[in-house]
Amino acid sequence: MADVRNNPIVKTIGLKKTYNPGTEKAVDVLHGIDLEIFPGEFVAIIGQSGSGKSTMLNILGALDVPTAGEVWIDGTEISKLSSDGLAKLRGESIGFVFQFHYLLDEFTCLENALMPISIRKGAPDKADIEAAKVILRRVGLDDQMNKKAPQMSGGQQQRTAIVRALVSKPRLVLADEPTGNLDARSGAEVFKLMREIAKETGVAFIMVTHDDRLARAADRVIRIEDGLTIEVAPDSVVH
Amino acid sequence: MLRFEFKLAWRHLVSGGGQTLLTVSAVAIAVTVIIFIQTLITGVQQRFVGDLVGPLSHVTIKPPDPAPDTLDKVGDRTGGSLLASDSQKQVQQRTELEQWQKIEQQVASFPGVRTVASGVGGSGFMIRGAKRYAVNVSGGEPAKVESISPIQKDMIAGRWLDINSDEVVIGMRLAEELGIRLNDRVKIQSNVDVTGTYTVVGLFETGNGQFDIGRVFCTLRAAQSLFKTGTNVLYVQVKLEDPFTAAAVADQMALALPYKVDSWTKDNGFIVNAIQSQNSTKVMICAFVLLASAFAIASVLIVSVIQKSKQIGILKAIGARDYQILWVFTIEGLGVAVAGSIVGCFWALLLLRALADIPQAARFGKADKLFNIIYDPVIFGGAVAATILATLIAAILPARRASRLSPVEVIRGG
Ligand SMILES: Nc1ncnc2c1ncn2[C@@H]1O[C@H](COP(=O)(O)OP(=O)(O)OP(=O)(O)O)[C@@H](O)[C@H]1O
Ligand SMILES: [Mg+2]
Repeated sequence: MADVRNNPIVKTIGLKKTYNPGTEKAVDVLHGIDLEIFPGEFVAIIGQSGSGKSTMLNILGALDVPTAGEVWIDGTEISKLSSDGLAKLRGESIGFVFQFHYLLDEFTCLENALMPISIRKGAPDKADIEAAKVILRRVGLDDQMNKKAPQMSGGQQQRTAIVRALVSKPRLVLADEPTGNLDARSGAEVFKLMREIAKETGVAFIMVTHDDRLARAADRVIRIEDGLTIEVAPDSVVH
Repeated sequence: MLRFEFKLAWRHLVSGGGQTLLTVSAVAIAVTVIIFIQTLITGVQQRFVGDLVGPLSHVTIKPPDPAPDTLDKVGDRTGGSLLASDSQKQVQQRTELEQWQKIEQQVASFPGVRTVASGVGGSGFMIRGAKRYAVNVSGGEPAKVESISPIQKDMIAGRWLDINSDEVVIGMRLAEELGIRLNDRVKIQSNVDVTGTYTVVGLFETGNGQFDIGRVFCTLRAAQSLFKTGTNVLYVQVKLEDPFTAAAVADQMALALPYKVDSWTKDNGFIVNAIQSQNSTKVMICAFVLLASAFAIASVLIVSVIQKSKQIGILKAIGARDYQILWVFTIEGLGVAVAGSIVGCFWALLLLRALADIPQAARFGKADKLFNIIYDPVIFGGAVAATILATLIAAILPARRASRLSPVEVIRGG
């Protein structure tokens, strides 16, 4: 593990984020965060509403750029990347699961799962489709593959979104309250799946959650408070 | 190439359902209206130009006008010895074209020239018993004259293309005026006081009054003797591919040839003006139609971009580049334009075919269609090209807007 731990998949140095900097509406959200996340880790991010969890996650996922500081994702410093450069990095190295599953209504479960590959290659090849089917079966969607997105339940859609996040074999998956929009049972199921897949594949998971029970089950828990991160022991999270 | 973009655009259009159909119909209506207006106006113009300009020579080459004598020359003339031969030459040049075969060749080599015909013509009287009627006599090789002033299609009796030098062809109304029947003999007295007797072997009715009542066609030889031109001619007539280039061609010829060159437009400026203003009307109508359909497409696409902004954000979050999103919406616009164009062409064909069969009230005794409909591929192609171009321009704004959406904004929205 030692040399793996020497190569974090995400590393921030003095990460600061201010919305609308230099204007009257400026909002200082992150005040200088130093963080390292390593392959295979399952990290929960907690904190009060408005503390900056989504802000940080978006930056760690190359959806947004920091106002100051460095962010290294998979060996690339993102603040110098163009919007297309960021898109390329996202497409190749990062998977996303959002609170609202955000599948494309016009496509089937299988097509949605393969979307990152279609975007990158124009169309998936046989091997891609087989690989996607394997993960879809793994998350229990064998009989849903050919359904259009709106014909599936919320939990099924969210599981499809998880497959979509994994299909490009990213090294990092980011999830912003992935279970926030699901009932307790399917939420727990989805979480369990993510946890297992993280273990099986060695991909790093960073999950924002309001659910302390889920946070307790993570490898690491990071709390955001006053624009800074505090590492907390998972079993010290109370609910 | 762009497989993902095509697929997504296609799915958008299919899932758009009624909205897509509506947009396609809007484009189709635009294409139909453009083709319809263009075809109708072009048809009217062609008939109008055909009727009015059809029997006219587009460009006519005549001997140069005599140069007005300058004082110098007057001085020369009084004292000089070359006086006699000089002025003789001038007189000859003034009235006739000598080397007309050579002129015909020269003129035929100009671009845009379709046919060339030399001829002799002038005014005179047609005499039948005690009746005299002022006429214009045109003499030339019938086949060549026919290529300038086609009357074969308007012949209602007798023959024309194979007449002899003692035979003439006249208009129906002139025949009625003088009570002439086919194969009657008539006298023609020219303005240089030569009188000849001819057999009327053909009668025509062009629908153009000037022609039908005042024109007499005869052979070149007959006219040469009526107007005492010997073996010379009085003019060389030219028919062009496009009558509206006549002024320009005439200018070119005037520069290159030592003769007087006139175009039909010189005496018929009003026709040219009428057609020009008709053309601008046509262009304006089509431009407005295009504008309206472009706005329709732009607004539908803008709405669609707003509806799809979440989707666009998510696509970008999972790796889609700006240009890919740009393509998706451009392809959608193009798809609507192409589908609308195909439907529009089809509708236009149906409409034109329905109109083409409507008969017109008899025109000068000849049955005709109300609309002169020509299925011109240039008009169809032009309408399609203009519509696709307008659609593309209309699609650019919403497509760019979509491509610039930032994924964070969308994902925050929830
Ligand atoms: N685009 C923006 N412009 C201005 N301020 C913003 C913008 N996005 C977020 N903020 C502000 O930044 C702060 C952090 O927002 P963020 O969405 O990261 O919070 P969060 O921890 O994810 O909250 P929640 O748990 O409610 O999702 C908030 O005060 C928010 O109002
Ligand atoms: Mg949040």
